[in-house]
Amino acid sequence: MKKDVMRRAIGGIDPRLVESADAEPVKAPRKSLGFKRVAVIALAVVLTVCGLLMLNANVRAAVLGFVLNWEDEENVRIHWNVESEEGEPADAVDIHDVAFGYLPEGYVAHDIPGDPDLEGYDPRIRTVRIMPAEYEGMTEGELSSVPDQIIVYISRAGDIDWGYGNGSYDLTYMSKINGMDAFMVHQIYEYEGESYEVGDIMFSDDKITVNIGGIWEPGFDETIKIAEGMTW
Amino acid sequence: MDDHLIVQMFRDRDEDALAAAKEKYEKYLTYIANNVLHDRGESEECVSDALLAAWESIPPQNPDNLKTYLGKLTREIAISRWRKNTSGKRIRSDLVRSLDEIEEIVSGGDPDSEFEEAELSREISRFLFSVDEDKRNVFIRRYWFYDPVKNICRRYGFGKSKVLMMLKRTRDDLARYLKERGYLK
Repeated sequence: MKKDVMRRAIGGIDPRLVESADAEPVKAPRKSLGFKRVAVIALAVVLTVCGLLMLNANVRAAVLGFVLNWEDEENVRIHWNVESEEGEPADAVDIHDVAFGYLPEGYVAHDIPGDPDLEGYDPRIRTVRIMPAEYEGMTEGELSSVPDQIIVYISRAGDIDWGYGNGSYDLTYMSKINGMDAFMVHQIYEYEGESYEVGDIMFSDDKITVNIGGIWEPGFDETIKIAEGMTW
Repeated sequence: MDDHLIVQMFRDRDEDALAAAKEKYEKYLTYIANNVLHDRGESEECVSDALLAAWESIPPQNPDNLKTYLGKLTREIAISRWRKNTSGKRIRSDLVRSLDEIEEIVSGGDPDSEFEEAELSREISRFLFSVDEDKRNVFIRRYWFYDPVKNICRRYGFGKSKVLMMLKRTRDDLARYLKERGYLK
């Protein structure tokens, strides 16, 4: 199909569709909180205080150590705290309170420098490889074929624009881990007709793909290998 | 003034038709043009060009829906003007993203296939009529009106993640729909 055909074809859609989309949306009437307003504000204050406390590494480790756990290899799952925005369907949930814990003992983390000449390069995204310390000194080529690694793409929320096709993720700043900025991840997504939740691990041949969030773009290297028995 | 009356004035070559159309739809058309051009002056010129294009095309055109007809003309003229303004420049903008997203629908399709544009428009319309209302409206606001995502969020009270997810899914569903009907190979 020649370039621009789709764009022009969308331009020629049934005018009723355009009119419908142009009509002012009907918004649900605001409910008066009345006496509940104080309770809502108090709850917001409590959650803010808890959120600030979570910035403390020890507090976070204690909480996440309880939340994050591994099941058996066949059905490994990372558990995340999930809050849904009011009234939103489950497949449009923003996931909060998700964080990486500390690096497991015996593992190291390194930045993987991006190539500014490659399409999709975005200096705001950091790529970090978390791997067993014994792999130190291996070349990139050697590392691409060994197991027990996690490659994490991390960035700051609000700085990244969506839809560039570079696989950027909508993440939120959370903490520092071993000198790196570490972030929460959110997004539930569908890929090839299947629905996946953040934290699901899919087995594909000998590669294990972890959905740590975001929308997979075609051609983007989304394969992440995960260490068996890794604890956070 | 009723749209049918304005269209009749165009057909009768009554120049008051231009003033009538402008009075009724200038704000609407400027909004569409500005989503593309982000420049008030350019947008106003674009609207003038669109009204002139309507004058030159009616007759033989006899639009049932004048508002959408003028909007479509404005849309095309704005894109042409934008392309001319940005030719040779590497631009990263919301409009570029929007156009890239549209291209993504046909990525991998047979570039030699010739389809009548009107036929494709009809198929896309059929698809959109079959889709959930929210998804449909978000899709049209994004790819017909070129609304920035944040404007769509504000209009419908949706979060950004939700809007992006809706757009992605609708694009994928449309691609699948067109593939099943032989428009994409």
